Amino acid sequence: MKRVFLPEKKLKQFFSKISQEYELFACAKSEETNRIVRLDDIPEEFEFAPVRTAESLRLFLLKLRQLVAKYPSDEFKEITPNFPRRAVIGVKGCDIRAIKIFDEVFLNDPDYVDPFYKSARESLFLVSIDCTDALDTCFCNLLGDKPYAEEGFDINLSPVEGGYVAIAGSDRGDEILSSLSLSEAEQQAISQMETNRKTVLAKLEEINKDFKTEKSYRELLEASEGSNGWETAADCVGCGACTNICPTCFCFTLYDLKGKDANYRFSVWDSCQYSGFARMAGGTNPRRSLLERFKHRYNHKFLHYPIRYNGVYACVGCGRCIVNCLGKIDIRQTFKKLDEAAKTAVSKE
Amino acid sequence: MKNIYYPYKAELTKIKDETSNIKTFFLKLSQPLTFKGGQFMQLSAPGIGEAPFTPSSEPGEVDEMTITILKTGRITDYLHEKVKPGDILGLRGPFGHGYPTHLFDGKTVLVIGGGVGLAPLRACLYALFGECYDRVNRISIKYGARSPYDLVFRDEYEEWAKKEKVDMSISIDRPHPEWEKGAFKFDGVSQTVGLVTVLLDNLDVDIENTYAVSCGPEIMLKFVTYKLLDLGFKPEQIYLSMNRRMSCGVGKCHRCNIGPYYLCKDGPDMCYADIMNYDPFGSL
Repeated sequence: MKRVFLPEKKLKQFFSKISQEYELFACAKSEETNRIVRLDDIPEEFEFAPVRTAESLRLFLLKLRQLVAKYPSDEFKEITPNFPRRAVIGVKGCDIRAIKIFDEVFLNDPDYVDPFYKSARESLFLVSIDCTDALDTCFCNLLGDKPYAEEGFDINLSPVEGGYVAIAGSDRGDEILSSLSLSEAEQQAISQMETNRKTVLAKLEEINKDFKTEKSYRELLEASEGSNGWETAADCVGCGACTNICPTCFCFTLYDLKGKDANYRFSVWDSCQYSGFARMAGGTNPRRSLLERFKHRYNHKFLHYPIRYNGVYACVGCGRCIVNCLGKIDIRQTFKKLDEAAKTAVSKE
Repeated sequence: MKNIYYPYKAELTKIKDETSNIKTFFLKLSQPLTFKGGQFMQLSAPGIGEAPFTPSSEPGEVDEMTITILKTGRITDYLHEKVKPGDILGLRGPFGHGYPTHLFDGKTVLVIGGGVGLAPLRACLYALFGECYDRVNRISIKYGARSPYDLVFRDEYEEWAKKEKVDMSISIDRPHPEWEKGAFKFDGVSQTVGLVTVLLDNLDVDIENTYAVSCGPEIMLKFVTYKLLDLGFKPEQIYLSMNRRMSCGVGKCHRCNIGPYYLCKDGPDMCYADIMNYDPFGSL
């Protein structure tokens, strides 16, 4: 696909083209917190969030509460996709990568596909935009990721002087860009895009320079059983905020209700940080303590998930868990402490 | 698109009391299905919720099955107290892999059960007595329960023990007057007192050529595993029914994992060698 130039003055046209097929959402800049907002009217101009928004795309794909079956009626035996078609414009690379993590579980499983996720996923149109800044809590670079998306989008925009360098990542994206009769991006614009990418990456390197670990997160967890480096867990209160705000967490529970004429089954978000999450009938609980549940979250994201799904971490470095933690636990600090403990253990040997 | 969360209708035709808190539910399915011993079903108490159970009846292509259930929580309380023959329940499944019967050629199969854990193992035994019988060398059944009154499927032991390749021993956790008096005498079955692990003392099997399959409370599985390892079993020879809390049954909700394994998809019968490095017994 070739890179084209989308001038600022054509942004309205771009929005309105997409809105012909989709309900429109965009990542808006705000003095306080960047948010994903719904655009009922096409704005004359729009200021995109320079960094990630407060919320991720999770709500667009996994509803807080989804009716998954009505029984014994036959109505829910088969699911006809009818999810509202939505477009989100201005998504950051981390949130685009988070969707891949869901896809592996709900969509690419050769045995069981989740029809509700599939319906929502196929109805979602995604326009990503390169980060033009970084938050103190951003750490995608520590995971080897970049502050922009390289795949997984329908269209990616890179802000440059006077507009955006745009590239399509799907046929649907290509159709929309083609319809706007845009000219090919000039070398100068592309250089500017590359400079911006390097500048933000350098800023991330600076922000996270004290959090670098010698071993990879996965290696640290492989050797973490019995490690005394889990000291950050002492500040955990088990509230589950980290899992609820996380763009890659997907745990849920099914629960049933008796209605007047039928029985209803819902799928609702759940959290591995809650004591009842794995507790069995009769009271046995394989993860009884807060510490075990704390470790479980790290193990799942950086050890178990990668083993099961092609070595990819179930974390994208967005840092939302750091901002939202009641105990002010910094995931980067947890790994730093594990790294230090591992080094001490080696030197003692 | 197929809805993986939709429960199919199953009519409850009969309920049989096994013990004071264990009942067997007989179900007539609305559509036939094929299951392997050890594969499990999600059984719905309509409007109350669903829970995973491994059928206790003979595996294969069936339009009826039995599920033997201990009364121990919200859903099982409801099933024990409220449902009656004629009621329509819900079923999803079968899920999971089932017992590794393909490994049993020429081997001794040591079947170790505790309490209601004999229910899933009964499906395994049916497979061993049926399609596997000519292929296996020997079937040794070790079963323990709290008291003589907690032994399930009591009227079947003598028939099992009569089979040429089968030997069976049972134990009850604590001495019991009725047991001492011989009120619970099973012909051909060796009987003793103690936790189920006592049945593994002086084990007379060719350990190298044996596979152990075990089902029971997790605390029992833990001590059975340690005992078997002490006896010289390799982790590869031990299969445990890790029947943890599950919700979706299809590897999505991420509740039942041990390390990278989903018990619902990869188990629930797990080879100990696979899970041993992932703290399989947690804080039990």
